[in-house]
Amino acid sequence: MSSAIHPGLIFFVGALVLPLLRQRSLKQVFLLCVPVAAFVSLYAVGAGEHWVYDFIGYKFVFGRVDKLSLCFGYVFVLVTFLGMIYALHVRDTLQHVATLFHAGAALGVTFAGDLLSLFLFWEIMALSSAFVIWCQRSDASLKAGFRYLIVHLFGGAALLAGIIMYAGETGTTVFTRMEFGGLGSYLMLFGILINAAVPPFHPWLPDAYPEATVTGAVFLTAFTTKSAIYVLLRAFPGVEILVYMGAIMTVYGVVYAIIENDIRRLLAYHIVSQVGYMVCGVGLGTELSMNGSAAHAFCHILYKALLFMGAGAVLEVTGRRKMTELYGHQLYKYMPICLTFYLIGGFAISGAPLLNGFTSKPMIAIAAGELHRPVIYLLLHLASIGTFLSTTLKLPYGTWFGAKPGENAPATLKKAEPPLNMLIAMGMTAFACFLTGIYPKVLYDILPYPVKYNPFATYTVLITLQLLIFTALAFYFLRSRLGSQPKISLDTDWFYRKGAALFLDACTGVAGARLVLQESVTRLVRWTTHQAQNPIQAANRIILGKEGGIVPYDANRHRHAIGLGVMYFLILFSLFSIVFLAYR
Amino acid sequence: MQVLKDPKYIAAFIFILSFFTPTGEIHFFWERLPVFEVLFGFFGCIVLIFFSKWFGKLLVQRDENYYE
Repeated sequence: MSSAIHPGLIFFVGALVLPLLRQRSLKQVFLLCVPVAAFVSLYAVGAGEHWVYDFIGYKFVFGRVDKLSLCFGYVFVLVTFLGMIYALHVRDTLQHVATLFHAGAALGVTFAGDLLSLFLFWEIMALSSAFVIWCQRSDASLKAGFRYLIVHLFGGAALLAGIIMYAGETGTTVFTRMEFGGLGSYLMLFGILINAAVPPFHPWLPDAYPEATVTGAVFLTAFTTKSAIYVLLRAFPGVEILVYMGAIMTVYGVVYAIIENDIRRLLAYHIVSQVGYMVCGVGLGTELSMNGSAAHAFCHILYKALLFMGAGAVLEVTGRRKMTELYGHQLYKYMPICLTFYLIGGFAISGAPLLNGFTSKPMIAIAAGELHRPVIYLLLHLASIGTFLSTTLKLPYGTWFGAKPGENAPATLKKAEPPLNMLIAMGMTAFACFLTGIYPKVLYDILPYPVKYNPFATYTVLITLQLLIFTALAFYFLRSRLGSQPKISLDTDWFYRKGAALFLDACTGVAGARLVLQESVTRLVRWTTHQAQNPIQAANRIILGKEGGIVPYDANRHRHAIGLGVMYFLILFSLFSIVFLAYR
Repeated sequence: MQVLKDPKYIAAFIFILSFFTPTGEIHFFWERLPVFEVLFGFFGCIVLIFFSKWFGKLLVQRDENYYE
């Protein structure tokens, strides 16, 4: 047992204590103290197994601490601290509580040493993040939150089924590198891939994150996908299919981002794209690529938080989040500090030298190079271009610049810098991006494997600059073609938003056809029953066209003369006799 | 001085400079080509823009109230 307290537990307790505090300033101080306490606890805890509890014969390991889990633990705590500064002005206690639970659950996943405690925190994470989305308290966020929750509960169920089958096959529930093969491991991977937002299981992310609150979205970007990357790094390194999924996903996210109009949805598609690098790195499975995935997760959390803070600040001030509504209002004149911080995040995600994307992203591409995988390398490279194009060129151009408002834009907008705490949070996050970009040793020292990679090789710096400059040049020539349209893009969520409704309609149609068929058969039966009450009269009516309704058969009224029967018999008998005599 | 303000001339200048990029560790044949990154950045960006626009128009873009 350790003397330190589980950092996730600190968050959970913090979430429960927070509503009891009455004074607002006390609440604010408390909000900042919780991640600081968690950081101290992380710093104090040594490597090894901690917080092991026996529960009716099952061993729960809540604290498996090694370099990999510490790396993710540190960045989760760091981004919670930065995000809490960003959210200090928010008076909605429920939102803070949900956020603290979300962060705590992500830390619980990170330090889980057995599969059942992993699942436990996995589900807490899904539920708490749905509450973070619902805290926007709009109709759209309510619906998006329910869709989000359904997808994640489905993924969680797949994970649990996989865990049970895996435990049944191997007899162990230790959460470590898994044998890939067998239905149990496939189901587990499927559950994890849903959380990692790998297409086609990704649409919950661009669907739900933009509907969350300004501050809630900053936390959402950090935990769910990155804890899934952690689980992949731990359990499924070197699984070949992840290489292709990751590489395709980087470009997929970029293509959707280029045509997106909603600024926070555009950034959400870039989460899909960036997580693709990490998934690809896990799949490549070399020390360099795995280090790259962990480092990129660390850096991505920071710069993506910064980007969402910038886009959120625009939403907070103007109440608008579509480029067609923001373009032309020349916001850059009124919020230059916010724009500067956003651009720092933009250059970081694009992998510009001196910022942290540059110290992490090339590791994965170079690992693909060392394994001589040209297609993967080029796809990752192409995604870099698209990332720079849409986050750092198109989005700022469409949001802060533009000569005059378009036809869909409102005539006036409220224009100002966001609240001071938001700017301070953005400044600190930007500083963290610079720190890990200029002095990457702080990052490389906490990576799971020893790092021999030098990010500042002359060649790497030069080609990165060339790539970025000429991407910018192509944007300059084509910028008029990139104008946003007031449209939405269909994604695979169509299948459960429209497709499911159509399926339901089809089921109703089939049920309706059955009713029609049943009714007509019933009528036929009823008609036949009616006619059968008096077959002779019915035959008269139908065949001979005689008038008159059906009267029940009455022997005295409807019986024919006996001679008729005798005549039928004689005719039949004569026919039979002829046939019999002729062919005897 | 006007020349310095026109991005076309600056780009042309960098393009000529890029012929003298020193090569690093070679994994693929194109890394021997000093101007590869310049061309890839420029044409890659154009291809991405046109492909995304075409893909959006043809398949996925709908009116904003599509789901309502």
